[in-house]
Amino acid sequence: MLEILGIGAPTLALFVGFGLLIGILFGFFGMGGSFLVTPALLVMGYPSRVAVGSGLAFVFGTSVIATLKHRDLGQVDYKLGVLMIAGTTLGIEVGKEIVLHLETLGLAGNIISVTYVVLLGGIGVFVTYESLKGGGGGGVDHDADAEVDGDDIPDIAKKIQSYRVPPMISLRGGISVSLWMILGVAFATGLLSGFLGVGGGFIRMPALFYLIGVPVPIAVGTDLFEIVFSGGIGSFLYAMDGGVDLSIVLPLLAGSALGARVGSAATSIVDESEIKVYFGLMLLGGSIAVAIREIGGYLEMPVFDTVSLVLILGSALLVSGMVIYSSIVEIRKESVTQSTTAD
Amino acid sequence: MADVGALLGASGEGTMQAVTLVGAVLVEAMILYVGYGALTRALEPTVRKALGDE
Repeated sequence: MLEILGIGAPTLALFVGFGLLIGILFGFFGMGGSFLVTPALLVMGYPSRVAVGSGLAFVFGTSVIATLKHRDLGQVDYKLGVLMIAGTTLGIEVGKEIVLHLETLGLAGNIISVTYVVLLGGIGVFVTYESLKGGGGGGVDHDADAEVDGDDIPDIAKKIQSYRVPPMISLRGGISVSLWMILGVAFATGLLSGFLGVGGGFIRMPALFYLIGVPVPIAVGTDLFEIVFSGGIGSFLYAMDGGVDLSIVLPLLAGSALGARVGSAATSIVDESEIKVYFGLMLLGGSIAVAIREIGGYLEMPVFDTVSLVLILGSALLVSGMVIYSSIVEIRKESVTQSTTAD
Repeated sequence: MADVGALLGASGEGTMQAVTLVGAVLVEAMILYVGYGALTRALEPTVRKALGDE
């Protein structure tokens, strides 16, 4: 059978297709990389070290591409990104120390799993609720340089912005937030990221929007900018121990690069409030999938792993499909409007 | 320049291997960004037209 990069053509096609799917989500939401890739590689039988290391290297490559694309659209706030990196790095260190302490007490595995399920599910319920409710959290302006409308800023973010402890930092979108609030949010998201051992896009992106009040496109672009650094360092550390397999990473990246272009471009076309409900449901699907996998591990029934993977992939396929579908609908609407105007 | 790998507890060989692997991913990412960028610019009008006219 034809082999490229040491793997068969069907596996190669599977990786490219899977990469395309993830790229769309990554480009649109700024998250969904390691959360989807690592479990899939584990179920395919790759050792944990290779699954995590290759997942991180893939996230690194995809985030480089997606960040460049968001930069072209003016959706990266570098000042906020650097501040977030500083706060997050400290948070990750503290999170890691807590994990090591819990390990000595023999409680780490259970506490981390429960926290992961509760957090992922909690954010999923919150985002879905806000989207269905409309109003406050639902409205999103796709113009990154436009002043943010007061009604578009979530209530919690307004509260955080009201603490005017100097120095105040001006961010893109015309908002001004205390440096200490930004570092506090960054530290908290880093703490969770280090504690759970994940990239943290699914925590940071909603945190930038709901807690700091950054417009969603800039929250996505800035989050991706930060992932370039966290993914790069993480994959470097795993690569030193041979945990990065290029036969996995290169085809995944070839697919996701195209998907990330489609996803990033879709942020300028689609009304995000339409999609956000699916994003919330995908997080909920992810939390149920992790819970099922944990129950499977407890009962020693590997079939639960497969159910978990199908649930994760199904949720991802549904959401990326909706992004594509909504983009096509918007392009058609635009085309009809232009024809009507021309007539 | 300080050996980053040594600081992180790895051998020189491990550091070189890591730099090569991460560098390969970075190079592929840049090539794909430029390549797909050109492809998107070339095909976008046709795709938009095809979707809009359907």
